[in-house]
Amino acid sequence: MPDSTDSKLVLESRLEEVNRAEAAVLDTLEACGFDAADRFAIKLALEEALANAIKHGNDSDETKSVTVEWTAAPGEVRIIVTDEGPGFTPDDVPDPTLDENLTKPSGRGVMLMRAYMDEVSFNDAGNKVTLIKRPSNAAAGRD
Amino acid sequence: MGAEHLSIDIEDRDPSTVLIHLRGEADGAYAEHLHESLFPVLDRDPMRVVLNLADLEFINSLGLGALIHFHNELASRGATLALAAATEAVLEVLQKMRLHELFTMFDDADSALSG
Repeated sequence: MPDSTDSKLVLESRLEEVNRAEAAVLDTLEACGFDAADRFAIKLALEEALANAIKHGNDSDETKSVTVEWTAAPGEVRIIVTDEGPGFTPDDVPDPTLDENLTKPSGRGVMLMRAYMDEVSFNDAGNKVTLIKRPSNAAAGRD
Repeated sequence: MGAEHLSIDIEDRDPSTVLIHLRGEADGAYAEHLHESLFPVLDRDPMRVVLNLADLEFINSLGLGALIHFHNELASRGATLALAAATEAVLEVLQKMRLHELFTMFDDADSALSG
Protein backbone atom coordinates (compact mmCIF):
# COMPACT_ATOMS: atom_id res chain seq x y z
CA MET A 1 0.00 0.00 0.00
CA PRO A 2 1.51 3.39 -0.95
CA ASP A 3 2.44 5.84 1.75
CA SER A 4 0.16 8.86 2.01
CA THR A 5 0.25 12.11 3.91
CA ASP A 6 -2.86 13.63 5.45
CA SER A 7 -2.48 17.31 6.18
CA LYS A 8 -4.58 20.29 7.15
CA LEU A 9 -4.16 24.04 7.33
CA VAL A 10 -6.54 26.74 8.51
CA LEU A 11 -6.10 30.06 6.72
CA GLU A 12 -7.26 33.57 7.36
CA SER A 13 -9.36 35.08 4.57
CA ARG A 14 -6.50 37.08 3.07
CA LEU A 15 -4.92 36.44 -0.34
CA GLU A 16 -1.52 36.63 1.29
CA GLU A 17 -2.35 33.24 2.87
CA VAL A 18 -2.53 31.55 -0.54
CA ASN A 19 1.23 31.29 -0.94
CA ARG A 20 1.60 29.73 2.51
CA ALA A 21 -0.95 27.04 1.69
CA GLU A 22 0.43 26.19 -1.71
CA ALA A 23 3.99 25.94 -0.39
CA ALA A 24 2.78 23.43 2.19
CA VAL A 25 0.87 21.38 -0.38
CA LEU A 26 3.60 21.42 -3.03
CA ASP A 27 6.22 20.41 -0.45
CA THR A 28 4.36 17.14 0.15
CA LEU A 29 4.32 16.27 -3.55
CA GLU A 30 8.05 15.82 -3.96
CA ALA A 31 7.96 12.04 -3.56
CA CYS A 32 4.63 11.44 -5.29
CA GLY A 33 5.68 11.36 -8.92
CA PHE A 34 4.31 14.67 -10.14
CA ASP A 35 6.39 16.36 -12.80
CA ALA A 36 6.80 20.12 -13.28
CA ALA A 37 3.72 20.40 -15.48
CA ASP A 38 1.63 18.54 -12.90
CA ARG A 39 2.89 20.77 -10.09
CA PHE A 40 1.99 23.84 -12.16
CA ALA A 41 -1.50 22.43 -12.64
CA ILE A 42 -1.94 21.66 -8.94
CA LYS A 43 -0.61 25.08 -7.92
CA LEU A 44 -3.02 26.81 -10.32
CA ALA A 45 -6.11 24.83 -9.34
CA LEU A 46 -5.34 25.25 -5.64
CA GLU A 47 -4.86 29.00 -6.07
CA GLU A 48 -8.18 29.28 -7.85
CA ALA A 49 -9.97 27.30 -5.15
CA LEU A 50 -8.40 29.39 -2.39
CA ALA A 51 -9.01 32.72 -4.11
CA ASN A 52 -12.66 31.79 -4.62
CA ALA A 53 -13.01 30.69 -1.01
CA ILE A 54 -11.38 33.86 0.32
CA LYS A 55 -12.86 36.50 -1.99
CA HIS A 56 -16.26 35.04 -2.83
CA GLY A 57 -17.01 32.41 -0.20
CA ASN A 58 -15.86 34.39 2.83
CA ASP A 59 -16.14 37.82 1.17
CA SER A 60 -12.57 38.53 2.38
CA ASP A 61 -13.93 38.65 5.94
CA GLU A 62 -10.84 38.08 8.08
CA THR A 63 -13.01 36.78 10.91
CA LYS A 64 -13.80 33.79 8.69
CA SER A 65 -11.37 31.03 7.83
CA VAL A 66 -10.63 28.72 4.94
CA THR A 67 -9.64 25.12 5.63
CA VAL A 68 -7.32 23.24 3.30
CA GLU A 69 -7.03 19.47 3.74
CA TRP A 70 -4.98 17.27 1.49
CA THR A 71 -3.80 13.74 1.03
CA ALA A 72 -0.72 13.17 -1.10
CA ALA A 73 0.34 9.72 -2.21
CA PRO A 74 2.19 8.30 -5.18
CA GLY A 75 -0.45 8.25 -7.85
CA GLU A 76 -2.84 10.86 -6.51
CA VAL A 77 -3.20 14.11 -4.59
CA ARG A 78 -6.60 15.01 -3.16
CA ILE A 79 -7.19 18.55 -1.93
CA ILE A 80 -10.31 19.82 -0.17
CA VAL A 81 -10.90 23.57 0.27
CA THR A 82 -13.75 24.67 2.54
CA ASP A 83 -14.96 28.17 3.33
CA GLU A 84 -17.51 29.50 5.81
CA GLY A 85 -19.70 31.22 3.28
CA PRO A 86 -23.20 30.36 2.08
CA GLY A 87 -21.90 28.59 -1.02
CA PHE A 88 -22.77 28.99 -4.68
CA THR A 89 -23.95 26.99 -7.68
CA PRO A 90 -20.94 26.23 -9.88
CA ASP A 91 -23.08 25.50 -12.92
CA ASP A 92 -24.46 29.05 -12.74
CA VAL A 93 -21.04 30.56 -13.45
CA PRO A 94 -21.04 31.90 -17.03
CA ASP A 95 -18.64 30.26 -19.45
CA PRO A 96 -15.71 32.69 -19.63
CA THR A 97 -14.66 31.39 -23.05
CA LEU A 98 -17.82 32.62 -24.77
CA ASP A 99 -17.23 35.62 -27.04
CA GLU A 100 -19.35 37.91 -24.90
CA ASN A 101 -17.35 37.03 -21.77
CA LEU A 102 -13.78 37.23 -23.04
CA THR A 103 -13.31 40.85 -21.92
CA LYS A 104 -14.71 40.27 -18.45
CA PRO A 105 -11.88 40.40 -15.87
CA SER A 106 -13.33 37.71 -13.60
CA GLY A 107 -15.14 34.39 -13.71
CA ARG A 108 -12.37 31.99 -14.75
CA GLY A 109 -11.58 30.20 -11.50
CA VAL A 110 -13.97 27.25 -11.78
CA MET A 111 -13.10 26.61 -15.41
CA LEU A 112 -9.38 26.69 -14.64
CA MET A 113 -9.84 24.16 -11.84
CA ARG A 114 -11.72 21.84 -14.18
CA ALA A 115 -9.20 22.32 -16.99
CA TYR A 116 -6.19 21.40 -14.88
CA MET A 117 -7.47 18.75 -12.45
CA ASP A 118 -8.54 15.19 -13.21
CA GLU A 119 -11.60 15.57 -10.98
CA VAL A 120 -13.36 18.58 -9.46
CA SER A 121 -16.45 18.25 -7.29
CA PHE A 122 -18.44 20.56 -5.03
CA ASN A 123 -20.61 19.74 -2.05
CA ASP A 124 -24.32 20.52 -2.32
CA ALA A 125 -23.95 23.93 -0.68
CA GLY A 126 -21.03 24.90 -2.91
CA ASN A 127 -18.71 25.95 -0.09
CA LYS A 128 -16.44 22.91 -0.32
CA VAL A 129 -14.48 21.83 -3.39
CA THR A 130 -12.49 18.63 -3.86
CA LEU A 131 -9.63 18.60 -6.36
CA ILE A 132 -7.98 15.38 -7.51
CA LYS A 133 -4.87 15.13 -9.67
CA ARG A 134 -2.97 12.05 -10.79
CA PRO A 135 0.52 12.11 -12.30
CA SER A 136 0.48 12.68 -16.03
CA ASN A 137 3.27 10.13 -16.31
CA ALA A 138 1.30 7.06 -15.24
CA ALA A 139 4.41 4.99 -14.64
CA ALA A 140 5.53 7.39 -11.93
CA GLY A 141 2.54 6.45 -9.81
CA ARG A 142 3.21 2.74 -9.73
CA ASP A 143 4.87 1.02 -6.76
CA MET B 1 8.29 25.45 -8.41
CA GLY B 2 10.38 28.57 -7.81
CA ALA B 3 9.73 30.80 -4.85
CA GLU B 4 10.38 34.03 -6.76
CA HIS B 5 7.36 36.27 -6.91
CA LEU B 6 6.57 39.06 -9.29
CA SER B 7 8.83 41.87 -10.48
CA ILE B 8 7.84 44.40 -13.11
CA ASP B 9 10.20 46.56 -15.19
CA ILE B 10 8.71 49.39 -17.23
CA GLU B 11 10.60 51.05 -20.08
CA ASP B 12 9.60 53.85 -22.44
CA ARG B 13 10.79 52.65 -25.85
CA ASP B 14 9.61 55.81 -27.60
CA PRO B 15 7.05 58.53 -26.85
CA SER B 16 4.18 56.25 -27.76
CA THR B 17 5.44 52.77 -26.85
CA VAL B 18 5.93 51.21 -23.42
CA LEU B 19 7.66 47.86 -22.88
CA ILE B 20 6.81 46.05 -19.66
CA HIS B 21 8.87 43.02 -18.60
CA LEU B 22 7.21 40.69 -16.12
CA ARG B 23 9.41 38.30 -14.15
CA GLY B 24 8.57 35.59 -11.68
CA GLU B 25 5.12 34.37 -10.71
CA ALA B 26 1.85 36.30 -10.72
CA ASP B 27 0.41 34.14 -7.95
CA GLY B 28 -1.48 34.61 -4.73
CA ALA B 29 -1.72 38.23 -3.65
CA TYR B 30 1.00 39.23 -6.14
CA ALA B 31 -1.47 38.92 -8.98
CA GLU B 32 -3.41 41.84 -7.54
CA HIS B 33 -0.18 43.82 -7.29
CA LEU B 34 0.13 43.35 -11.04
CA HIS B 35 -3.01 45.41 -11.44
CA GLU B 36 -1.59 48.19 -9.25
CA SER B 37 1.62 48.24 -11.28
CA LEU B 38 0.08 48.24 -14.76
CA PHE B 39 -2.50 50.98 -14.42
CA PRO B 40 -0.10 53.88 -13.72
CA VAL B 41 1.34 53.20 -17.19
CA LEU B 42 -1.85 54.69 -18.61
CA ASP B 43 -0.71 58.10 -17.36
CA ARG B 44 2.06 57.96 -19.99
CA ASP B 45 -0.62 57.96 -22.73
CA PRO B 46 0.92 55.11 -24.71
CA MET B 47 -0.45 54.11 -28.09
CA ARG B 48 1.15 50.71 -27.76
CA VAL B 49 2.11 48.58 -24.78
CA VAL B 50 4.12 45.38 -25.09
CA LEU B 51 4.21 42.88 -22.23
CA ASN B 52 7.32 40.69 -22.37
CA LEU B 53 6.32 37.41 -20.71
CA ALA B 54 9.53 35.47 -21.40
CA ASP B 55 10.31 35.29 -17.68
CA LEU B 56 6.77 34.99 -16.32
CA GLU B 57 6.53 31.46 -14.94
CA PHE B 58 2.99 31.46 -13.59
CA ILE B 59 -0.26 33.38 -13.75
CA ASN B 60 -3.59 32.79 -12.03
CA SER B 61 -7.06 34.10 -12.86
CA LEU B 62 -6.49 37.27 -10.81
CA GLY B 63 -3.43 37.98 -12.94
CA LEU B 64 -5.41 37.25 -16.09
CA GLY B 65 -8.06 39.66 -14.85
CA ALA B 66 -5.44 42.37 -14.40
CA LEU B 67 -4.24 41.87 -17.99
CA ILE B 68 -7.79 41.91 -19.34
CA HIS B 69 -8.74 45.03 -17.40
CA PHE B 70 -5.57 46.74 -18.64
CA HIS B 71 -6.33 45.65 -22.21
CA ASN B 72 -9.87 46.97 -21.98
CA GLU B 73 -8.71 50.34 -20.68
CA LEU B 74 -6.06 50.69 -23.41
CA ALA B 75 -8.60 49.73 -26.07
CA SER B 76 -11.02 52.38 -24.80
CA ARG B 77 -8.24 54.93 -25.42
CA GLY B 78 -7.48 53.61 -28.90
CA ALA B 79 -4.24 51.97 -27.77
CA THR B 80 -3.06 48.40 -28.25
CA LEU B 81 -1.70 45.73 -25.93
CA ALA B 82 0.58 42.96 -27.20
CA LEU B 83 1.81 39.93 -25.28
CA ALA B 84 5.20 38.57 -26.28
CA ALA B 85 7.22 35.43 -25.61
CA ALA B 86 4.76 33.67 -23.32
CA THR B 87 6.22 30.50 -21.82
CA GLU B 88 4.64 27.19 -22.75
CA ALA B 89 2.80 26.92 -19.44
CA VAL B 90 1.48 30.48 -19.43
CA LEU B 91 0.52 30.24 -23.11
CA GLU B 92 -1.47 27.10 -22.32
CA VAL B 93 -3.42 28.98 -19.64
CA LEU B 94 -4.20 31.77 -22.12
CA GLN B 95 -5.24 29.27 -24.77
CA LYS B 96 -7.51 27.28 -22.45
CA MET B 97 -9.32 30.54 -21.67
CA ARG B 98 -9.32 31.65 -25.33
CA LEU B 99 -7.43 34.77 -24.29
CA HIS B 100 -4.86 34.24 -27.04
CA GLU B 101 -7.74 35.42 -29.26
CA LEU B 102 -8.32 38.57 -27.21
CA PHE B 103 -4.70 39.67 -26.91
CA THR B 104 -2.34 40.25 -29.82
CA MET B 105 0.34 37.57 -29.36
CA PHE B 106 3.95 37.59 -30.57
CA ASP B 107 6.72 35.02 -30.22
CA ASP B 108 9.22 37.59 -29.00
CA ALA B 109 9.41 41.18 -27.78
CA ASP B 110 11.29 42.48 -30.85
CA SER B 111 8.51 41.29 -33.14
CA ALA B 112 5.90 42.85 -30.88
CA LEU B 113 7.74 46.17 -30.83
CA SER B 114 8.13 46.31 -34.59
CA GLY B 115 4.74 44.81 -35.40
